[in-house]
Amino acid sequence: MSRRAERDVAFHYDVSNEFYALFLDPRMVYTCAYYRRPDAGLATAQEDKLELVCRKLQLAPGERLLDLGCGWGALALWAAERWGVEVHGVTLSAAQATWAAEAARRAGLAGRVRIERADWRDVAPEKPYDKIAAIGLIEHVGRARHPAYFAQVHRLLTPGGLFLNHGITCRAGARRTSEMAFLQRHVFPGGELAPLDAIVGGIERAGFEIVDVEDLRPHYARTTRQWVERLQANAERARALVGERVYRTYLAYLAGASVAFDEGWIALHQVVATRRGAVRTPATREAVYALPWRTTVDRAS
Amino acid sequence: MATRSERRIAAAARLVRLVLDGLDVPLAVRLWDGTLVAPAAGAPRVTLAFRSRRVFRRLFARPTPLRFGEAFIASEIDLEGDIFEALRATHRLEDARWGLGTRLAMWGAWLRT
Repeated sequence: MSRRAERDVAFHYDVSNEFYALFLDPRMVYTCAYYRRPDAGLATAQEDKLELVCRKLQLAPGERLLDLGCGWGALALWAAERWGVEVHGVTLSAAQATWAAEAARRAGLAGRVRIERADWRDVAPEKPYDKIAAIGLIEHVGRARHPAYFAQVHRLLTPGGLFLNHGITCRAGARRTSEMAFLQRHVFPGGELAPLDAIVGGIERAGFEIVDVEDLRPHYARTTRQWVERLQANAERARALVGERVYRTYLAYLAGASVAFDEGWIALHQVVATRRGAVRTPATREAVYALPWRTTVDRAS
Repeated sequence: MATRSERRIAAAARLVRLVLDGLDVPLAVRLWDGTLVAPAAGAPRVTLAFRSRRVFRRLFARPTPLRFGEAFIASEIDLEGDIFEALRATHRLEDARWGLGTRLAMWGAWLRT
């Protein structure tokens, strides 16, 4: 486990579970939501995102799913509960790991969801996984380590298995702005964005075939805007929990992110790839959208 | 005759106007004495408020999103109104390319603040 990665992750994700709960949805999903219906609230849009990921991964009961960078465990719980898979969730954040394991236990899923505090480099299963999801992990890997990261995912996946990489991308050829310096200094130490071509190329070079790419940029503009509005609505509680400086840091970073997604300076790409082997991907995208959506009715949020 | 602090405020207002004219953003700036400098066209949607001349001089010596961001989280400046518009506005500083004449006018005004 890298000390530096550990420190960088703790800096951001161990701020306070209670603080994150002030602006995230009840499932504590801290990545781009999916507003399938235009009037959806945050909680529904996050469930629809979890559902979209499970569909793109074509989960089937009994399969083994690795959730790299599992956060507070929302996808792990959703996949185990709704799709009947065995999930191994991995996060480097101690605060997240404790929360996620407790959530799995409360949901009666402790037998099917195993949460581990570990670095992506140190995951060593007895046998490869059928599916791997990495939602919002790539931004923390660092471009220098992309080849090692994609090679590790390749090693961990069974031939013909599916890998979904969900992450923020910058524009090809984008120069480093002073906003990126602000993020690295005050919000995400060790964080680094890559353009889509680098991510797709990196995945291919590791031995995968790219089967699907989708841009969710407008969805992240909206997600981050909702987070800002919720955080502002809970300003007093937030200040009491983390202090004025951290409160303002999150306001500035989330509002800045919303504007950046809105203007197209950055984007959010889901890339689905299959480890070359027996090709199991369907011929059309209909399989992803044909099933009735099983997410809950909209809640005001 | 204007006092020294009045001359400083006038110079700061001139400097803010030069910057705002180049950016075309719905952002107003409130100076440390309460003077509001609004954009030439349209109603402002957010106000950037300075409490001290010292912070104003430091930020406007080299205005960048990073420096505004750091001043904001340190509570040296405040934002009133639409925070998204403020972030949109400061990003414009990244791409701003002022002509030599404007830059000289800015420096002249800055020196008098």
